[in-house]
Amino acid sequence: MRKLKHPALLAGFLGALLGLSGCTAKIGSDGSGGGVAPGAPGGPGGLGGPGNAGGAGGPGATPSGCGSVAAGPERIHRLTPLEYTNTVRALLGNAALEPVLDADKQPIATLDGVRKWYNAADAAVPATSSWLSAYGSCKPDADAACAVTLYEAFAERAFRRPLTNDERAWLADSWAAFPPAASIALRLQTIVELVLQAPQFLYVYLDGKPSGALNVLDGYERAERLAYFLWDAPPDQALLTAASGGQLDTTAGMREQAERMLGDERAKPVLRSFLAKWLELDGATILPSLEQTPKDAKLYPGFDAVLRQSMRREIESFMDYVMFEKDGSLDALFTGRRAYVNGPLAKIYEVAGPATADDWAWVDLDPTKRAGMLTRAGFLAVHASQDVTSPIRRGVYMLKEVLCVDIPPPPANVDNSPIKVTAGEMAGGVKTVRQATLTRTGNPTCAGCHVMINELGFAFEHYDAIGRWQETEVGTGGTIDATANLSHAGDGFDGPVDGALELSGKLAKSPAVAQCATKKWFEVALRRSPVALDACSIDTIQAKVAEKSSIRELLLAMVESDAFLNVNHGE
Amino acid sequence: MTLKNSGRRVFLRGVGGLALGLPFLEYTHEKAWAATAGGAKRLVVVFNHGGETMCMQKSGLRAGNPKIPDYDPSLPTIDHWLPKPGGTFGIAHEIFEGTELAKKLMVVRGVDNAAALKGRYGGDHGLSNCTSLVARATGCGDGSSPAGGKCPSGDEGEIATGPSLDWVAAQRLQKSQGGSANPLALHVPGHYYGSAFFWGAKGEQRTEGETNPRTAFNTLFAGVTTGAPDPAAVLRRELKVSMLNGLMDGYKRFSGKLGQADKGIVDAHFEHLSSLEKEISGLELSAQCVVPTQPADFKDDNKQQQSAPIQAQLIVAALRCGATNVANLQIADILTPWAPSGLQLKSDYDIGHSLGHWVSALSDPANVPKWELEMKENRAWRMGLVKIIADGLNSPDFPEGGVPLLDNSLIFYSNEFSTGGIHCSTDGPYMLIGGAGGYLKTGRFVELHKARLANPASLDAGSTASTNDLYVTILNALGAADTEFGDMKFAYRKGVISELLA
Repeated sequence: MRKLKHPALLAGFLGALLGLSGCTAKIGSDGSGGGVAPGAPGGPGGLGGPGNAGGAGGPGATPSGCGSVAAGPERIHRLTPLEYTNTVRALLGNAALEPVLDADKQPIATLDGVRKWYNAADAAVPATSSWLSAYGSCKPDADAACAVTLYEAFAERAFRRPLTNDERAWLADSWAAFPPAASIALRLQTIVELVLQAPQFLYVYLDGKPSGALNVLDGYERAERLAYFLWDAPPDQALLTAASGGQLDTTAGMREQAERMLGDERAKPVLRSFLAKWLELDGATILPSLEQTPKDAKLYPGFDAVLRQSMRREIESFMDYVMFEKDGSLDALFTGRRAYVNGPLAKIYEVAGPATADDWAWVDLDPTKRAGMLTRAGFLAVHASQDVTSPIRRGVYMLKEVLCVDIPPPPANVDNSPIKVTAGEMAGGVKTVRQATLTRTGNPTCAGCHVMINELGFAFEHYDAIGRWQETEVGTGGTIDATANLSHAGDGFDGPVDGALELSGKLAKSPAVAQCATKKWFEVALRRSPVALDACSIDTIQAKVAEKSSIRELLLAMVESDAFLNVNHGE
Repeated sequence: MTLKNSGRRVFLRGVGGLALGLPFLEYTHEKAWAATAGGAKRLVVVFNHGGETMCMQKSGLRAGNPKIPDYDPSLPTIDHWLPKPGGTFGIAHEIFEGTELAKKLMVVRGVDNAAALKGRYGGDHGLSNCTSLVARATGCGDGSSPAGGKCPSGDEGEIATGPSLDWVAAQRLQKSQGGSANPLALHVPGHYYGSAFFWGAKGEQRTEGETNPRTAFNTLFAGVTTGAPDPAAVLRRELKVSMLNGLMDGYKRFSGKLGQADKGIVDAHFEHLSSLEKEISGLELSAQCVVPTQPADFKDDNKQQQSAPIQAQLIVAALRCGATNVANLQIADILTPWAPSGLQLKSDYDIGHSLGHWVSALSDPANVPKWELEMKENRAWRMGLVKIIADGLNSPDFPEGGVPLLDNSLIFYSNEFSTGGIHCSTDGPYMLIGGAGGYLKTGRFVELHKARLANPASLDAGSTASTNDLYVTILNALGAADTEFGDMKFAYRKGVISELLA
């Protein structure tokens, strides 16, 4: 089998190829830049062409030293349920609204989804029109012209930009077609429901102004992209003012607004959510969420709903700490020991802390046992089986989610049941989970991938199935061996490590990890995976991240990137 | 009585509807469509996530898995669908035997979901769900091709590549007798992998169904009363219909400026709005219609014990009122702690299907009876929902042509796996309730498994029909004359299953 050795930048892009090629790839960068050719005439991927150079930049879309401005094609997408909720709450001034929406995961909406938006609009819009005073001072009850003023103002805010003439005409046609017997109040209620189901509201379609092969986003479109990226919410008045004043036409203006937004409370849930998703606390395919992951009640009697919630809160608080007290430092993310704990968590971490579940305090975790997000109990509990550790789950997670290496699915006939161990020597002389894992995966078919997976997972063997430190193994009483040989894991990782602390230290300094984080934030920001045409944007972001090793800088560089400031409507 | 839909802009329906409807013609006129055959006027599809409990067959399962062909001979070969002495229907016997419904029930087994069987290891979750009611190979939701037999995003990324039985049936019935072309879709919420219900030509058009009976009720019966319509409610309905027409106008305008890929997304949304508009404006109230009391608002998805029976009753009301010709009830893969004996064993994944997996992990023989009791009671609860629907349609208080509605209806109880614990897509057991106007011969157990015909305890493979054949039979029971369903390369019979007919 061919041994691939590729730069980590391409790890995600070439995941499928890697998958097809088996599991003998190297992780990490050799610094060559790999198969994309930044700066090549016409730009990467061939979409650019000579006429593209600088053309899509427009005001503020500064070419990032890659020769020409390029971005991968993107599709229209809908507001997520969270974005929808935040947007409707902001529009209607009602923070208590809890619309019931479809999970809505596919590109094409389901009939269920459409029905639920219909029902949500019906339930959200008040029957009286007094709430519309936020959109104008006139009294609509007997004044149709006033009603037009109000619903147009509402639609502008809902569509996140000024209305076009065609949109005004369409709204007027719809208004005129309502049954004559309906009162103005009833008509207003109905047209607001219409606006809340309109494509300009439900969908994010950033048109841009044509410039070469790309379209440059205008200020309102950039405000919309910024707001849903950093807040999961619609643009606020300051952003709209910046858009109308041309401030967002420059990268400096974009950075200024992004910095303001990152300092706002609305950014916290987005950052927390990112970390929760990155750590798969919400579950993944065949992986239950932290709230649902089953644990043996006899082995872990305290692992109840309160402890699960506490673990999630602790990780979310850790993200707040990293972002707001450590300036988003990747080093703090992977090695930080500050923890926000309550009574049950203090016991898990074996630190002095509050006595009860309701009392919380910041503490420093034991520097010999904990370092960063990967040694937090919530993460370790999700990535474990019901009763013992799971080196395979943890190793697969590390490869796929922290290093962005795609691995092929296991063979169809694989025995994927959780590894079970009992005290004493088992069949074949097996005494521990580690040994059972090696036995299960030792045949040549499995070994190609598992030589990478297992070693990464073994580094976490000191943490039991709910994240407690263990010197001897739960279930078997065997002595823990958390040493690992990462000789197959790639450049920058080669060599032995002893436990997760040492591994986390390597990860914190790894360009591959920073690149993986960039890829994941790119997907959040632009709702698509990066492609070759985004290589210049990625490179530019990487360069800035490398300088400061900071997620905060990553986010700021993201909003200045060509991919963020422009749109490629290419099919 | 009929509710008028004033305010509608007819040009939209005429122009937009025609233009966007064309791609679906393949499915609405799949093969040799004509109204003849059976006499069922309505269909209910109950889909049971998590699989059933049958014996561990020797073959036709995960090809190449050294563990599966003989499975573990030390394990019990539990077969809940094998009729026991004195019983007719296997596990269904306990719910239906001795009731009026027993004469109208047929249990069929020995039917392969061949579209899944021919795929990866006999059918993983996504593959089985996406093929169960579709009988075609699957695709990937992100547009990629399954690489190595797997979509990049796993089970959840798999989609159907054609319409499901319920959707095709709705098109046939709408054509033959009018009414809605949309199946009513309700969902007993909880965990499941993938989805079984897909509408229209593309898998992206899947529906998971409404989980809250209150919401479903509001959509179905808003402004409808058993007596004379409430004028205020009728006005509100007219406004909604007018709004939906305005929205469709807006989507049409918006779509015009998009590229082809984006346009497809927005046009599909338009289609859904059109369906919703027709549904809301076109409710015809029949003499059978009694609008039920507005149900409680179940915002909590964990109240299935209370909400699921109401959903079943809502299906009955919707069918009696002619709000739909086809209704779906999708029952998620949930544990049922409210069953008479409660939960007997701890589950690995807190979902019902995992109980099946326990068969391979029941090292302690003492656990087997506990496991079996829990499985039986879980399934009995699901069948109890079917019984609510069947009883409602069988009520003598709502006759149709002198017989209960059930006699002119068909209830189809389906599943994703015959044996959940090993993801077995072969040898499926199904229930058909209702006479379909005398088309089907009910009151019996029909074995289509040739090896078991000779030896009821046989563990060999031997199904003689596939779901393609079964769905052709069901469509014929609805009065259609389809000769094909899904991808006929998966069909064993190439036509109706004659053993099921009267």
